[in-house]
Amino acid sequence: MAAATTLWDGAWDSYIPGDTLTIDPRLELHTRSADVDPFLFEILKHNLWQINDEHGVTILKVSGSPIANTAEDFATTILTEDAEFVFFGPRNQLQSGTMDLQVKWILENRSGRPGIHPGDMFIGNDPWIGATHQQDVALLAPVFHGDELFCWVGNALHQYDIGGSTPGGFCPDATDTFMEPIAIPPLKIVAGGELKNDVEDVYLRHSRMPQLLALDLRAQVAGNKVAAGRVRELLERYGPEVVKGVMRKIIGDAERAFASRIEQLPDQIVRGRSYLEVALPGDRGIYPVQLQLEKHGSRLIFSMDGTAPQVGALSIGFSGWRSGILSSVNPVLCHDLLYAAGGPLRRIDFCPTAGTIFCATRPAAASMGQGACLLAGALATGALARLLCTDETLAREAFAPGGVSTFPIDSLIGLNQWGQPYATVMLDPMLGGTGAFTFRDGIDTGGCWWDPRSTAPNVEESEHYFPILYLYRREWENSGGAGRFRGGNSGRLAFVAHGTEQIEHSTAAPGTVVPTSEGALGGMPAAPSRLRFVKNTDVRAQFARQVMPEDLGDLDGEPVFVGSKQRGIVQRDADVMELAWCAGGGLGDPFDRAPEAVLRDVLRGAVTSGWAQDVYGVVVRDGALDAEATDARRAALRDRRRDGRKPPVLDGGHVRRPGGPDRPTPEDGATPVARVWDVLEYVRGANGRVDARCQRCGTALSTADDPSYKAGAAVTARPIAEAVPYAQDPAREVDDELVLREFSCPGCARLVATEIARPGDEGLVDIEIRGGEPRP
Amino acid sequence: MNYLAGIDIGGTFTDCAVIDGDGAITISKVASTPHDFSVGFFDALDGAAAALDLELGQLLAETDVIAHGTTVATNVVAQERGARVGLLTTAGHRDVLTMMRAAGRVAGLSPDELMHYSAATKPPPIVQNALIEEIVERVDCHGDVVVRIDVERARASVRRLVAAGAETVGISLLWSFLNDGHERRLAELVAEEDPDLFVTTSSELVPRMGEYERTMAVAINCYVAPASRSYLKTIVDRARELGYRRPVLLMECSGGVVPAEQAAEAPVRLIGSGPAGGITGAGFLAAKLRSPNILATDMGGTTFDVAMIIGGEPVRSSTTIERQREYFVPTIDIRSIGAGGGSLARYDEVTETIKVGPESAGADPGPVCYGKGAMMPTVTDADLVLGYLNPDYFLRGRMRLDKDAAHAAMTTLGAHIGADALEVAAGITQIVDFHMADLIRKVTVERGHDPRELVVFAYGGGGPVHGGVYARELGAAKLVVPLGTTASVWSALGVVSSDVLYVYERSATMAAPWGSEVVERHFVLLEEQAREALGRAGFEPNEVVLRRTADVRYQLQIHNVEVPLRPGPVTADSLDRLSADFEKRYETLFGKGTGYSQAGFELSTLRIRATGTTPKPTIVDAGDAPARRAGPELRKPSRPVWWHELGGLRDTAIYDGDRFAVGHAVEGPGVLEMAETTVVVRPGQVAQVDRFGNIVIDLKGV
Repeated sequence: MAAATTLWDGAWDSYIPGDTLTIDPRLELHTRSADVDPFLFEILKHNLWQINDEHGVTILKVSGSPIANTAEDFATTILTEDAEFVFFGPRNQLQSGTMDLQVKWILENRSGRPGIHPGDMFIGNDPWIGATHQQDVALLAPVFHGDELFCWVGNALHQYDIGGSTPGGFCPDATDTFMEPIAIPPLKIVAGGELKNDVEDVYLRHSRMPQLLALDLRAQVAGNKVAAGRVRELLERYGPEVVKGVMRKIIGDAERAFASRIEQLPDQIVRGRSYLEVALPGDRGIYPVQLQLEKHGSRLIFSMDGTAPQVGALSIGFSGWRSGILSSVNPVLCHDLLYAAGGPLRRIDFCPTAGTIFCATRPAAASMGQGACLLAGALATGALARLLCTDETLAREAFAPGGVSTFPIDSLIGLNQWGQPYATVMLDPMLGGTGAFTFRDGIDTGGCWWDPRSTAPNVEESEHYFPILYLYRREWENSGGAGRFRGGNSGRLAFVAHGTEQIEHSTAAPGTVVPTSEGALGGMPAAPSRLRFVKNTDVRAQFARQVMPEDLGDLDGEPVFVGSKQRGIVQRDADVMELAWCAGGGLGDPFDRAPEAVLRDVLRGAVTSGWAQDVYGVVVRDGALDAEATDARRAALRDRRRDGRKPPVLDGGHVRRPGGPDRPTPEDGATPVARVWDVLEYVRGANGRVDARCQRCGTALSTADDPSYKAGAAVTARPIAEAVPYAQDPAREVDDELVLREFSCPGCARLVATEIARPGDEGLVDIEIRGGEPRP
Repeated sequence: MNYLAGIDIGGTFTDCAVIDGDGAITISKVASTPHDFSVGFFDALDGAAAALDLELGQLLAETDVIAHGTTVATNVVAQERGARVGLLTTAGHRDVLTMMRAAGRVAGLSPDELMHYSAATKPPPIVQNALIEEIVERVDCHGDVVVRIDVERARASVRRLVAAGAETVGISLLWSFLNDGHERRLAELVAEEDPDLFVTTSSELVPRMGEYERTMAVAINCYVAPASRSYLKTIVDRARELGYRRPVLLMECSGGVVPAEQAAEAPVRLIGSGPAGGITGAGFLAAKLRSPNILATDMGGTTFDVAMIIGGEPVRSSTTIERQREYFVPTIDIRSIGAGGGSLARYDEVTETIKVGPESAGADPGPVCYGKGAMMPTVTDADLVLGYLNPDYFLRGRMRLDKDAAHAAMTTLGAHIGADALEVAAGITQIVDFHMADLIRKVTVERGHDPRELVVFAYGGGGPVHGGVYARELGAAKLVVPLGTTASVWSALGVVSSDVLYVYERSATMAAPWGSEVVERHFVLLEEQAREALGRAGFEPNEVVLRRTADVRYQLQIHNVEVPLRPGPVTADSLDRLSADFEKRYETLFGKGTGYSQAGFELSTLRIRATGTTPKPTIVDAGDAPARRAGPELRKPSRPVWWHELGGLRDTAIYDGDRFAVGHAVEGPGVLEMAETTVVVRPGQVAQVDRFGNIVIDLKGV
């Protein structure tokens, strides 16, 4: 789709509101606000927060849905009259980020006919207007003071089933949206406080589980009613101007704090790149997705140059991409601002490209959008980490991608051991390993950043409701990306069918070919997700011999390929399915990790001694550190890094001999511009150009032709199956190869960056410090 | 004289309440002694004895019941100084405690903590990895053995644990609550290796579905066992030496007491013991007042605990969270919210306002006015500056408060926003009162109750000072400061009002229709355990009350609702009634139309609550008396006190609350000073002493 024809109106292209909204003049907006004394402000701010929380509690109570209660896959929000976020809530961040867009669309498209009136609520799940995917159904309610629209409250809740070709609505084989669950542009379903039966009937008609859908709808209605009622109580007590003053100040304070954080960082562009694999079952393609983040003054500008055109069932609309990014912005930059995203959003620009995987045009399929949405969030995590590491204080909030950077969906259906039909998704991958921080390791099986309170089920609960028996569910050693700070390990599990004739699996598992939790600042990527299946094993015979297999390798049987998007995989009681999921990326050069910390990991079983030797260069013998051997090992491995294929080149084309810590080489007249953590240093040279050098030894990393730090780094490239823990040969499933590139300082051999790429892809310039020159 | 003695040990103070046969209450409050809590225990008793003009031995010889709430187990966990625990788990599942179902990173944290991604992390493991052994064995969801236990390898595992210095051993295998054979076999193996090792099996401690929370309960039980058991032995032995002839009763988090010997078997249940005493006392008093629905608030120096009594029964839970670790335990549902007298006030640069809490000054250094070197003002400092607290009469004058220092700290803080000391102090109290109201509201609403329909009890040092505002903001009509002067030692009084209580529960997850024989068999087994325990505690079978309840839910839904069963053996009819009762209760708690009966019903947990009655304190009933205004003879010198309702400082009447009698009434604004408690009566509110000596504040006023 050519950009010139992009209309951004939600009809075919995604809806993106303009700077001013076109609202029917018959709808009066309440805009007046008063100054509020500082104590009353604290009181009312807390009050509004609690109202938003009570909104969520109401939904949990009425719905009783495990999706809402255990996985916390829902969100509630309060927005101003013109749809700026006041509070975003601490629940599912991906769902929160969609609701301002939907309200703006309602204001622009529903304020005339049918009109927006007191007691109305609008239901919507359209990915081109605001939803991440159709299963996330939003219900948005205006709150009036007299005749004036004062503010909005709203919620969004993932639904069991609202139709589509696959139970649950994830349709891996949908080639376009017409094969998917119905997408509803915001539709008035409650008028004057009354649920409209006719509209509800249409909504429920598509579902395989209409009663549950109806119950959840009532929960959503009740939540909005409680929140709206409590906001109106505040208006009565304190007057609308005061309450509006508080809302404006919450947003204004957050904007100011956000802006001052951003402002102190040097102007720069950071980027992240990853890939999504297998657009439809049987497809052997691999598709780049890229995120660019420009920091200019006090603004952040996100764009997606380099992202592949929309394809198969991989894509999302604009809002999915945007909410993925917001899910990372909040924990990194707004943790002390109560996630009041409205303020930061005033300082963030989104510049999407229509017709791409990250911003698809109708009728692209979108029901599987959680893959691209999470990956956009993971790329934002990595980009923000690089950005924040240019400031010593903000660097403490940075973390490498991880914590379920992609979620491998394994759906099971059949008859359970009690003779009842069931359909479920294995939720164990919620035990994600989180990415490493700049001052400590990532958290082993710590959960995820985009839904902080979500949990994984107990083994016993899964075995009770579904006909499976776990052989093991344990932490996955070595899965966290190596680094000075190690990425958190994730987990793995294996199970047999138990008490049933057969289980039918279907997979929708992005991140099984491509490791999606990359390392940061020289940290290594984490293990990708992995599905393995062995049929007709001797597992039952082993049980009889009092043996519990510890690994698939302990079984005799026939390994069978499982694709990342595949339907109709049948498992019987001697067939073993293993599911392992992606972990957290590492941060910093693994050789900088204290050998004692590696030893602790080995003794705890988080890292094997072989891996410690290969990746950390740390030699552990009989439970003790061999310091001498470690030094020797690290020295040898550093030499190997220096032998990287590309010789370092300096100004004037001289090949530079490796320098060292004893030979710092500050160039004459060079003025420091920026430091990236303790890894890179950017200086403006005599020629006015900003160049990169190694912070540890001062060796230049930029070259005469290319200021990028990667240009002059020693680089090695290895197939991911060799270099990334548990990565499998991509040829199993896609036609392209993938390599891990390691960029090291040619002087001190410190690892400064890693990247995963197809061999033909250019090295990604993931840090570009501007150093004050005007923006092009 | 037949005395009843209650002792409650908290982090800062050890409280004691002694009640004689006529209902006269003697209280004493001493500093806690964390190096050896038993010292404070006997100090407090000694203090009460002195007040009664008795030797400690005399008092104990004439005492019928010593009941005790203790923080000893809580402290072991808080200070991470528990035992070296060895753990035996099912092969393939050794990581259950560290995985924590991914919940451990944020479980129980406040929103501020939860949102700070880089700061939140899992708590340190309480079982070292090297002390976890996987046992080859497997049972499935029907309780059938899939892999028989490999005894020889298991024995080797036990030997390794013993050799590695395990001081206690926890045993928690998958599905052991349906088939405990393998766990019992392992317990035998441990006993064969070392008969003196303390062992806990999960099938005995908490036979419920959910291996993470069950294993965590086992691990914590083993972790706190040595310290708790040695403490219990010390006080039991010493009390006996001093002449006490009966069992020392220990308050458990379930809201009942058990003899110390039995408490020592499951010391995990002592975590939360003190607060449970407070709520139990509130329940006892509520019954006297014929007030079935109570919101109990305990504002201490560092914590603010909230619990509810609905229909005369405390609201309970089967799961709790201690320092981000979630575990199964039958408990009164007490929520601690981040506010208290110690909450710190500070200037926030982002919003250019004053923020209060959730950080706390703790017991040390405490508020500025304690004079222990603290510089950051707290809520208590604000209370002092505003005139609510009397610097010369804090804890009956035993501790002088430094008002000047508090004032200076307020002035410094106020400079940021151009406010003077009084304005800042007033702002701080308003913020904390409104925040507490918000957080209390959250606790009540989450449990399906409307705070406007509850009578608020306020105790602990800060409750009676702040209750007038937070209870009003909640929309409640009535605030009760229980038994006036005893409010500050309320938990100590609570523990002596408690019955002996055993809760036995087990998972029996079954979709309806249920077989009445299966359900009956489960209950009979639970009742046998309960009778045996009560027998060991010295109760005859006819002194025992057993009550059956079941947790029921809709299939595909998550809310469990505890429903009592009708007395008598389980029949098809009684199970039908159970479903009907469940549906009714579900609608009450979650709203009309929220039930999803099409999905069918599911039983989850069956439970026996077995009580044995203990001697109860007499609460003196002075009978009804007409309201009469407290006269000048009850006045103390007036002083300026800040009332934001009136816009500033007003010279305010101060009353000697210790001399109030039934019927005495005060119209706010006013302050009642009592031995250990200060009651603030807000403008427009009316406080009156009722027939039992409670101070009842009518929040709607005149």
